[in-house]
Amino acid sequence: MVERRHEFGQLRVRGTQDGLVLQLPPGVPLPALLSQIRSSIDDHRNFFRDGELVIDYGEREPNLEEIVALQRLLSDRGLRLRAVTSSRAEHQERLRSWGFHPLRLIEREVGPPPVRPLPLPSTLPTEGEHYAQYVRRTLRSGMSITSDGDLVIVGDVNPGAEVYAAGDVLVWGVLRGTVHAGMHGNHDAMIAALRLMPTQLRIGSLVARAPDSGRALLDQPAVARVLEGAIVVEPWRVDRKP
Amino acid sequence: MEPQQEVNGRVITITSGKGGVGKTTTTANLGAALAARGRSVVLLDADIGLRNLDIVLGLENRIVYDIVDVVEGRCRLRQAMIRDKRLTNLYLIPAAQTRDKEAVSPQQMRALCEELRRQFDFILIDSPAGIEQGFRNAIAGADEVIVVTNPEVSSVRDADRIVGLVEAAELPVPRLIVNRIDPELVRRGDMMSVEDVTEILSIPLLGLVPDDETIITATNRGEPVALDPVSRAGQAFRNIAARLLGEDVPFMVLEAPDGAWRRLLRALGFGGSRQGQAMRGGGAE
Repeated sequence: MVERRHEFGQLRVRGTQDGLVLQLPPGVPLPALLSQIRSSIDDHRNFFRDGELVIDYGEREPNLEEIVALQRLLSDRGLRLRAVTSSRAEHQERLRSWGFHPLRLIEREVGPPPVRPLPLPSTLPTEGEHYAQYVRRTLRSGMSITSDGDLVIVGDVNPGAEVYAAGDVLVWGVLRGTVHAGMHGNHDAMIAALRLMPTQLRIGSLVARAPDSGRALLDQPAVARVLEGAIVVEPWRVDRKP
Repeated sequence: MEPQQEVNGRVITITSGKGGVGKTTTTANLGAALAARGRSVVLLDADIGLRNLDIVLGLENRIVYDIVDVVEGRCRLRQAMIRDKRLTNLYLIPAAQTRDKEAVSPQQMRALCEELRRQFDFILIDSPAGIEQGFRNAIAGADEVIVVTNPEVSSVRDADRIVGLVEAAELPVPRLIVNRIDPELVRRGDMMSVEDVTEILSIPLLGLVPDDETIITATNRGEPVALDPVSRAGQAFRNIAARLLGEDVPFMVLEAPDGAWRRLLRALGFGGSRQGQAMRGGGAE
């Protein structure tokens, strides 16, 4: 049998005895991953002719939401998700508990992941600095923004609008809609707004909804973060570091 | 048919997202009020399949041709225009009742608006509810958009969605009419105040219309309240028409008188959103 092997950017697909195996790179956030997979499949229809795929999490932490999203993407393209596997025993256990049967792969490829040069900005961020997406507009009902990093919105987030970020979300305005910070499970993420009267706040896997009174949580700039497993909202203190 | 000299009219779409907030009533009354001020006005019912504007104007029994007949070339534009029975410079182009929104394309709407613009001072388009094709048709040829909402959470939510879609269509920022304000309910705090609404939508306020039973009776009779000199709602629509003509008309005071207790609460900062409103400078109040 001729081994089929293909690299699509950070994605790797291998033909094995178990069929085509899609290896997920660690560290790539879900939206980027989904778009890579989508374009890989669309650009190489012939390569994916088998109609069945195995997803290999490798060292990446499995995430049920991710798998569901991947499953949907594949089925939209007429492909079936045959199995989900991982190289870590405890992750395999978790996958099994979700109802996915990890395969023992016959051959495992080792070696450094493909390196893709990133365009370097003129000044590199040092520790504690990030590049954030900056949005200067009001997000109205029905609008949605997703960011792979931190997100700064100058304007309001109205009810019915949705904001997702892998990192922090800072709203320089009134936050009335739904915001999910740390969407890939980062519980260190925070949400801050000049006025926090959200429909719902999510940080990592935690969800908090507004009290049914509909009033502002605090009548001053506020920050929501995770403390001891719960989302806690506090006034923004200028004398304290975030 | 009188010869009309070429004008460059304004195409204004009246829309809301949510149904039942008063788009059609607003269109009919602004049209009547503008026509009563001597402007030539044509009202275009873009709610194909759910024709209403003709009923509100009491012109239902005069319909021969409709907007779909025009775009499909079964009649000339003039033949589909129904002249109002009271105002000689007010016309209606009715929607088709037996077709649906796909019967007209945005391109056809644009062409129709361009044609009408040369003949009338104002072209008012009554948009269907929703955000789909019918709405897209209704704004396709518009120069300006008026968003109608009620002081009520779901209607404001839909209005907000519409404002976003209008912005995305690269039209100027729409102006807002808050319709069906019940002063007593607002005073009791049981209804969103105008400030609550403008704080969320943050678009310029064009007018406030009180909830007024004269609207219902007038609508059923096919008589626009804008022509009724004693109706409060009629006055509100006349004010809005005047603002469309560039006049600086103060907004109606619709809130029932404030109690001393409420004023005290507000002074102490429990009154909610006054401050935000003042900072936004949202109007000529």
